[in-house]
Amino acid sequence: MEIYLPIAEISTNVFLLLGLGGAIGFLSGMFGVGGGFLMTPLLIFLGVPPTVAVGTGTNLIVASSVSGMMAHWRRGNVDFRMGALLFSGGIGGSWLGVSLFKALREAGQIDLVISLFYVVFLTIVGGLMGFESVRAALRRNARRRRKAHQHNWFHGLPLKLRFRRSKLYVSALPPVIVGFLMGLLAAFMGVGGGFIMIPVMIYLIGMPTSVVVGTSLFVIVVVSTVSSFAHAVQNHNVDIILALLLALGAVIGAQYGSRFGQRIQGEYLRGLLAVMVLAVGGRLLYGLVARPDDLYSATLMVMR
Amino acid sequence: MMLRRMLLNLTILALVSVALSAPLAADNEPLVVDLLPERVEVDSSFTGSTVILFGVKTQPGDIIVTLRGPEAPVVVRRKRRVAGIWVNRDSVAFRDVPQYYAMAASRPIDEIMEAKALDRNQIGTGHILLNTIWTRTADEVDSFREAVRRTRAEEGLYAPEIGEIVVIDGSLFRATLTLPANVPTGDYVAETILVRDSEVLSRREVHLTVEKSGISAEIYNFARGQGALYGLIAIAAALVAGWVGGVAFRKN
Repeated sequence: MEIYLPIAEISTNVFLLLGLGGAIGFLSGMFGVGGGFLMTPLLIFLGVPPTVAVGTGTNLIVASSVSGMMAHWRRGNVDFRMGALLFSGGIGGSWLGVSLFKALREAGQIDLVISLFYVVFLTIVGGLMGFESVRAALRRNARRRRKAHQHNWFHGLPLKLRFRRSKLYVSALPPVIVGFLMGLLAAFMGVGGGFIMIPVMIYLIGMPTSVVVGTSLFVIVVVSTVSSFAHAVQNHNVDIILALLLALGAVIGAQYGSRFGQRIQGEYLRGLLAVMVLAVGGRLLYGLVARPDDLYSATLMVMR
Repeated sequence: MMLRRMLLNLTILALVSVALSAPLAADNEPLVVDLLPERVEVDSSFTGSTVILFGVKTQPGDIIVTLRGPEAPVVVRRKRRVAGIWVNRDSVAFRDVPQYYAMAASRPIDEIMEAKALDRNQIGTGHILLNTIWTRTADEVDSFREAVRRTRAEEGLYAPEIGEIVVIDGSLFRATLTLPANVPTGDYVAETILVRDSEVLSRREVHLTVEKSGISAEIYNFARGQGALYGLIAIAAALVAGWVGGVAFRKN
């Protein structure tokens, strides 16, 4: 069944979109990652214009993160004070990111920049996941014990605040800066940015793991909401039909993914995901390096 | 579809008979033309369409019909390899580029008009005037001009072949022009000229409007016109969809 996507301006099969949403939802449910970093490139491969893939991605992240956030909220696993610092940086980052996005679009460079961002981040994420899964598979039995958190250079920064939920007394600067970077990524890539924020929260800020996922989901919902709004206003690239179809698939897929994930030894699947992520990154890189069929491209001039 | 075609034929018959039964008016006008339909609606199931231009000429000569539109500024960019990656570097912007172009003629075009006259009258995709707005390249602008025509042709928007004009009894004529599925929305001009010895004896313009219609068009226009409100609705829809999805599956 074909459906015409009003903003992407292409016709696609409904079941293909539902299936794509379902597959990404399944992966995100299984691994606890957002999945946005796979969704955007796959949409581009489907023929959705890169700008629309990113704008729609920000909207999709809102849908796919909100129910998880509410579940963590009910259990009291959201550090709102930390979250507020993160998203105050994030809002600034995402608004700046969307404005830069618009400027690059007018300069005809946005498709290139989106691809470059993805190649870099997919390589990093895929590489790290692959590395982790190999290491985990090698020493499955050797468990190390970690301290609550370690004190490092970072605890000497000024503007310290007390975070009751996280049982921390740390500077307010790093969360704001990290949030700002996340906002930029959300605007440019249509991703939530959990894969960057979670390691930072655990290893750098030293938050207890119990509140990390809930707080990061809270920030992702807020930052994606702002990015989605900014894209809709400045770039007109949020396709509501595309987002809802993908979200429907993703919500269903995530349920099965999380059940499946609980029953299965993670290392090998994680390794498989790493391979997939690297393959998608490789495909995008190929698109940048291979000589295009036509060196010339003609587009309507963007009207201010 | 059948019904629509039948209606179209009936309308043509009616109009043609009107034109024929008004010889007095036609005596003063060397050329009388009309277009059917004057308005094309593009909805989500649109797979292309045809428009029929028909008319009467009261003087001997050949007929050329061009349909062009909507005109908009276009930027042509050329990629160069920078550090192993293909990057858009050089660019040229052109003024008033027709996004669509098709034509029909009563005889092979080179038998009707010589090349200079084609240029002067902008007949044929190779003769469309492409003036630059700005030039950001050290190379020939003509390769960029050529790219405009090539990319439009690849998208099926510059018709590769010249359509046929059927002339009946030396005065009644009909041209059929095809609009592809990806036809851009906007205003089109169909120009009919009566030509003898490369000279344009008479010229008539009729207008065509192509518009999006249906729910997807409304969404598109709303997203463009009311970006902020659209953004809020999209967010609300996402929140509700995510929340409902979560609740529905928690109960199970």
